[in-house]
Amino acid sequence: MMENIKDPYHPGLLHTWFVTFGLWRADNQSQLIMDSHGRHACMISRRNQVVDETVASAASTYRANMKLHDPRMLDVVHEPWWGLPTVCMTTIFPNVIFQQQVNSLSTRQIVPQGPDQFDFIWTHFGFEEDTSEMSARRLQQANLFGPAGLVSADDGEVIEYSQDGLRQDEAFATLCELGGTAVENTNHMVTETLIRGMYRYWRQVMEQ
Amino acid sequence: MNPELELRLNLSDLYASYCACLDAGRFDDWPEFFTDDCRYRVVARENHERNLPLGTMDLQSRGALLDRVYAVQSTLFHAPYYQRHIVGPVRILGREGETILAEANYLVIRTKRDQPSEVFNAGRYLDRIVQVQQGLRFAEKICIFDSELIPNSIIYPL
Repeated sequence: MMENIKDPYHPGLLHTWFVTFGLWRADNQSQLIMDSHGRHACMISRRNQVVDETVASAASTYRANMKLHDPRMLDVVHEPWWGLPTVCMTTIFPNVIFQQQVNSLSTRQIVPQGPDQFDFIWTHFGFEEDTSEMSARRLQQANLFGPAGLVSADDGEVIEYSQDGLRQDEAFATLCELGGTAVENTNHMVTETLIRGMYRYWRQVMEQ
Repeated sequence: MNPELELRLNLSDLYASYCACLDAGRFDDWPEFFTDDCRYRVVARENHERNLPLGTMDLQSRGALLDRVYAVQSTLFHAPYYQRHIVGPVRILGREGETILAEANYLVIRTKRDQPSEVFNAGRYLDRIVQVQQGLRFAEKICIFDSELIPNSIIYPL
């Protein structure tokens, strides 16, 4: 699950909601930034509400006719502290995620329960000075996240799928070098540099 | 028929039809059990009892229920499963004008492909029910589940 929030490429393939409503797409203006050890990272991106025709036709998850009957879940109001980006997903090594996705703020804590199991603790929060409208907005946008989330449930399900798949054969191996082999900050999402950064640090610590 | 007795029979039918709809996977029909300005929430007992506002699912109109149905059927990536609702007798808690306040225990059993059935979600419905022309409808349905540990995800309505 930590890798999930260090993989900027999967949302554009998996999360129909993100792609359709421009909240996360591979062509959005974005940045991947790590600390000097490569263990903590931020995936930063800017919502793009206009969809280029070539993007729409190429993205199988894009649905032009998808409209909400109740638009409150996407009633996004910009807050000055964001700056230009609309999303910042922060991974703190080894097990905590801080999430700002438009007005929804949450932490996710990974608590290992063994080699193939973990508890995932979601805590949503707001600011003390939030108006009641802003609190209600954050709570509505929370429908996208958590165990029943219109976006996050995709992750939980696909990770369970993958785990079941990998368990079938211990000798089975796959290698994918998306974005090469380097560990470096980038201004695009087509790379797994953050995952490489984390495992490089992991090896440094574990092999000492 | 005694109106009180008739109401209890109608309430029993409402819950039986609601469960039959979900257990058959007829999600298109699910919003029909609700009023236009309904509220449907799924919330952990811990949050409910501490009066914390966050719901696992919090839908604030029938339109929002339709959006959830669209997601279930068209966008949410998930391994499909059967649901089996077992609902206890409906207990009438009181009235507020024309609105009936009621609760009922529920148990949802999940069966995934090639897997034995398992207890998926156990809790209590806390409902507000109104009479409309077509029959009884939920103006509010809160599914308060006991264990805050959800087995990965909740895709379908409870």
